[in-house]
Amino acid sequence: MHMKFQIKATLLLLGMITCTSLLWAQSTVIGTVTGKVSGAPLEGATIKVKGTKIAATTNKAGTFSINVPANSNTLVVTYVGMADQEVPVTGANLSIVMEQKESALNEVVVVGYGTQRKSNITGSISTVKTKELVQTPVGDLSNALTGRVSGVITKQTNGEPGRDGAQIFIRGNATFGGGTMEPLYVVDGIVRNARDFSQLDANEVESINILKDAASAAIFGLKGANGVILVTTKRGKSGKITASYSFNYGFNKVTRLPDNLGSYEYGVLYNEAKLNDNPNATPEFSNERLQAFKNGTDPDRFPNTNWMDLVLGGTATRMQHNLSFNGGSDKVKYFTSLGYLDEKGLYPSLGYKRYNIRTNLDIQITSTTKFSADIAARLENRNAPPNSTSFIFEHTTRNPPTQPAIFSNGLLAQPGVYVNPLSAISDESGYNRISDNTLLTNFQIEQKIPWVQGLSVKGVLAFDRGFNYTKVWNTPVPLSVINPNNTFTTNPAGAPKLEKSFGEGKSTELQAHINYERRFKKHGVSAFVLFLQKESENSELNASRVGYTSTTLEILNAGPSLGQTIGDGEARFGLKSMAARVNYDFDNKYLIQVSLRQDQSENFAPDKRTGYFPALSLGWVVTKEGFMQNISQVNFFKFKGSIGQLGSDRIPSRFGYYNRFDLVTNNYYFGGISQNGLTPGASANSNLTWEVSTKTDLGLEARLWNGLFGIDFTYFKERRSDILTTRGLAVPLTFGGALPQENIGIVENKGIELTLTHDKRLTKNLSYYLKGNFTMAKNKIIEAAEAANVPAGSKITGRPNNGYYGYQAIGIFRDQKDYDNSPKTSAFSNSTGPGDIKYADLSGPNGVPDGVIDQFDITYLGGGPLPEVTYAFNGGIIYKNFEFNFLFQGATGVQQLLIQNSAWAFYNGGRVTGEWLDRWTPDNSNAPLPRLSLASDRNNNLTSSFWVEDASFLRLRNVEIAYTLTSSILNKIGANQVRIYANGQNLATFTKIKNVDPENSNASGWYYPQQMTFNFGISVQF
Amino acid sequence: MKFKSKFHLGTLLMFISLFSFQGCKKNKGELGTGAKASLSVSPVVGNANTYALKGTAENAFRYQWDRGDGNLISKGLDDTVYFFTRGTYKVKFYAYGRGGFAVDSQSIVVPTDDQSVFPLNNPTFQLLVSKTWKFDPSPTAAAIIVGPDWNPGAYYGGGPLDPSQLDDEYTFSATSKTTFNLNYDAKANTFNGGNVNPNYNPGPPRSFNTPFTFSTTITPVGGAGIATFTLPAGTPPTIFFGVTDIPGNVCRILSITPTTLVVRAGNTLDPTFTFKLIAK
Repeated sequence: MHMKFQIKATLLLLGMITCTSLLWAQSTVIGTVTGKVSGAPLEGATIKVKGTKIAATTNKAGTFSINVPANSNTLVVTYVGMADQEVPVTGANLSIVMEQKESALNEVVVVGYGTQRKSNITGSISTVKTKELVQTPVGDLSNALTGRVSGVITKQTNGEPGRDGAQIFIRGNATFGGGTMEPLYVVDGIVRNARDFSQLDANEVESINILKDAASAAIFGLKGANGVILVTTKRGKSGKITASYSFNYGFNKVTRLPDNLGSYEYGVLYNEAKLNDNPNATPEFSNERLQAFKNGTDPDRFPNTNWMDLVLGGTATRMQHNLSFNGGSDKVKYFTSLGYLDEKGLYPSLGYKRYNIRTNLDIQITSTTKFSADIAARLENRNAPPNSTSFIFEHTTRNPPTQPAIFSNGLLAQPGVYVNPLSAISDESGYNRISDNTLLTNFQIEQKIPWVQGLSVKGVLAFDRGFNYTKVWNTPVPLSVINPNNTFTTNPAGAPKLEKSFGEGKSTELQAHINYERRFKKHGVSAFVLFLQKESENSELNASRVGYTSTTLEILNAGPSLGQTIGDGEARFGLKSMAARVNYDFDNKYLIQVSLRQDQSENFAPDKRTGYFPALSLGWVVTKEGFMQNISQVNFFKFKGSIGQLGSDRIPSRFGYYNRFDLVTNNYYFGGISQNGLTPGASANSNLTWEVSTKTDLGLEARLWNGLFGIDFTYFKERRSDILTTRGLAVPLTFGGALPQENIGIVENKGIELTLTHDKRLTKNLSYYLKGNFTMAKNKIIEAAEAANVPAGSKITGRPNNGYYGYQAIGIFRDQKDYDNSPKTSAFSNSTGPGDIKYADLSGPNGVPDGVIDQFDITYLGGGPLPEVTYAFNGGIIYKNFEFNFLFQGATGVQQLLIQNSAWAFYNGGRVTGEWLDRWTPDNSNAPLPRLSLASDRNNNLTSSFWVEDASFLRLRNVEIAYTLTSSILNKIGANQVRIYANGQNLATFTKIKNVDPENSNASGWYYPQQMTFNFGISVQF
Repeated sequence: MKFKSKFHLGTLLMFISLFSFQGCKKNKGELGTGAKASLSVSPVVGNANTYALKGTAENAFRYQWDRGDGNLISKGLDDTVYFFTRGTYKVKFYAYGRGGFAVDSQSIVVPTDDQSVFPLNNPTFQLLVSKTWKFDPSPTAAAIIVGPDWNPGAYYGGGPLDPSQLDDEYTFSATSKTTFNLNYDAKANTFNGGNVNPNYNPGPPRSFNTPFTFSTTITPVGGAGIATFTLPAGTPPTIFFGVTDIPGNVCRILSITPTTLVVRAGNTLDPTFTFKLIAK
């Protein structure tokens, strides 16, 4: 009995112990979450056990209760407007104080060759994070920057898969001539080329920081004048392995197609144009023919062809996969990403595929030694028709609707004198296959110096290798005509031709860093020293043969040698640099940064290669002052300013310090045989040097009402001098050559940037945010060394860079009286009349109006295709698991000069667009457009303000609707998080410009238009 | 739950509205109403073969006329047309507007050639242009004789003609009130006169069209005759009548009937050539 009792007691005890241990295995933790500034409890804060799906939210009193498994000891607390916080489970009752979002200013921001606390940054840096990048369904990462931050002016000039990258101008255009404004691209501390940036998979990017002012970019010295785009890729985090898979699929279609007139309307207007040119002419299109166009009963003889629609009218699919793994221990962390992008073109012969592979590995070798190895590879395959995009769209925009494209029996038609663009894009016409394979590596080893606190050294080796292969096989397609007896004659096509080229490049960069960072009570000090050396080289070999008699063997050997070409090229580049940067702050209140970089660029003569680029910046965090402590509405306020000099050695020709000779092929005959020869080129200028950019910034940052509002404002000014240009002087023919380029150009560029943010949680389940940014950048050429005899109206000095020049149109000659009483162009006196464009008589040879329109009346018409003002506003609403985000982006102060078929009716017998229905006729004398004509070279087609269109636009750049699946559903599929979303790009465009996209940059409209994207996707995290 | 379903519906609507944003297309401009045209014709009293044309049009700003010859002339709403020769003529009126053009046409039947002025009203001229003339092929006709005006067969009294001469055809015509044409159709050959080698043998054909003038005044050349026709001066052997070595460019019509024509070339001082022709 006693024994039995003992056993029972023992079992009871064991049971109690087991229960107790079970209780401990999943202990309940309770707590309160309050805001730091207000001290008030926060309702709706999410508390999640790190690494699990266990989550709870706070009630009205700010309290929560959550079961924490025994193997977990960290809670992650999130609340809109507050900085995320990881809280160790130190007891069963926790008191958690959330810091306002402005404390996010404590977050670390990547700067040139280092990181800084955001609140302590004195330069001008904007950040785009991965969430915004993946929200944008674009293949080219440059387009994901559009509208996201101030100071970054993007212009996507076309939408061709694999070539649709945006031009990026950081704070506008400050150079002219052959100089470039392309920013410097730096990926994880290594300077890469634009494509290495733009073809990154957005899923492998953690953040993109744009360095805009002298202080932030000065560490890049000679390469930093155009601003710097710093990309930081994702890195592994210690903890359980996380696998993420995302897939999205979508459709592209053209943002806007021109409103081309159909055959009937075209015919009616053609008759009118013909009789305008010759009143006694017979109408080209009889009423019977016009009626046949209208009826459409005989499309072979009386077609109504919409060429644009045939070439671009469909939809193209796009698809993207990404699989990534992230995890590791305290010693080893890894991030691996595999990306695949497949973008089809609007015609089957066009398409782009990209494979991105990246592994970022971090190994903590010892407590003071860290090694990182980043290996990224990119494979790009682009298929395109053998004919150039320009060629295809020249004929697509030019062909009139009255010409057949394809006969009812399927034969491709010969449309009059022009090329049938359907033949130019058909698979039968051959292909242009481009394959680019790129390997980018980055190895870093960092050693902390144990006996000097805060001191570390780092060595970096980056080795890149790239290969590209292009093969163009061009087989002209036979085209047919219909005979009077309804039979068809197919004309023989020309002989095929083949071009091949191989290129390869490699680059090696070595860096040595010395880093020191330490805080002495209220004194924060950091210093950085950089030694950098880079060498790169590339070579290319190309060959072609024409007149192939067979299409069986698409290889060079199979072609005839007559007319063959062969060429090659090699280039080597080098750079040697040193840089130093020192930061000091007093109590995080007064901030100063000084930097200096020395560069040696082999683009210049040996004694002109070394340049020094200093910068100084100051900051004052006003809210750290005692007098601000009682102003609770202002949580953070900082003034900042910087000044510095940067350079740009990216000049059109590297060896201007040598006398040069140009190779002239097959132009000199000796013994009846043509020989190659040399002619003197530009004279040497041994003083050539880089462009010097002196930048000044003044700005402020503020966070108000506990993060409810945020303001960033900057005034910037850049004076870029030593721009390469050639003096506008005539030299005697006996000189025998051209004048050299000299560093004499000066441009001034200034403007403002403004960013406003607003975050608010309305209820426990509903919150929203709004963000707007505005950039205005105006430039002016101060010095261009123009010739003294350039008419005042044509001078570029004192005017915006890259502007349009031509005649000032002041309307249309409304009637004969108006025509008789107005100055006219002397060159077209025989062919002008009422209904033609009237130009302003601004000047004459003596500088005063002379009653004649001639070259003295040419004047500045507008700033050109780069917008002076860009703006964007984005926002989002989050309701429970639903999320809605949008981005509008716009530009103003921008023009496009449209010519030829994108503006003029019947240019070269080509198309007519819809606006021409409202043209001048005697009974419509107040029409906006002039009278019609079939002549291409006449008064109305002069370069004038009449054809300079306002290209301002507002675009619904991006929309996303997303739903995150609840945990109960996730448990069934074993995933942590599933997000389903639909997003779109360029969904609506509001603009005055007709027929072309407002971002187009081809005056003739010969471009593959920008795309509107509808995209659906899912991302799963395991 | 109710709210939830409304929210889902709202989301769906938002999707649809966003992705159909591009579906809204701007209305295209209008071509305008097509022109209308009508034409009326009335003879002009007192002017032979002349008609007044009056066009009426709607939605038009430009007009053209086809006066029956297929050529278009830009003119206003009113026009006049004159037809020299009889026949049926289709005149057209074109009206052009912003929405296209319209044509109205009307046939005008002209019953007679215009014979209201000299020489169209001259009986000799009327007989001359009414037929095509050939050499009289009769062996006894002495179709070509040569001699002074007072003894026209003194140098050559006539004889059989070469076949290349017998098929020659001369056609006089009036193309307007003031323009007259002589057509010489040599067929296979032209018989060379004394001014073309090989003399007095057939040579390559020398067919031509040439203007001529007609007069009833014989005075400049003198001698017999009821009228003259004059070819361009100094033209033989390119332009001639009868033979290539015709002695002058003024030819006298000595007599003409509906079937016979006697022509003498040369003035009273020169040797003259007299040709006897018959209607084809």
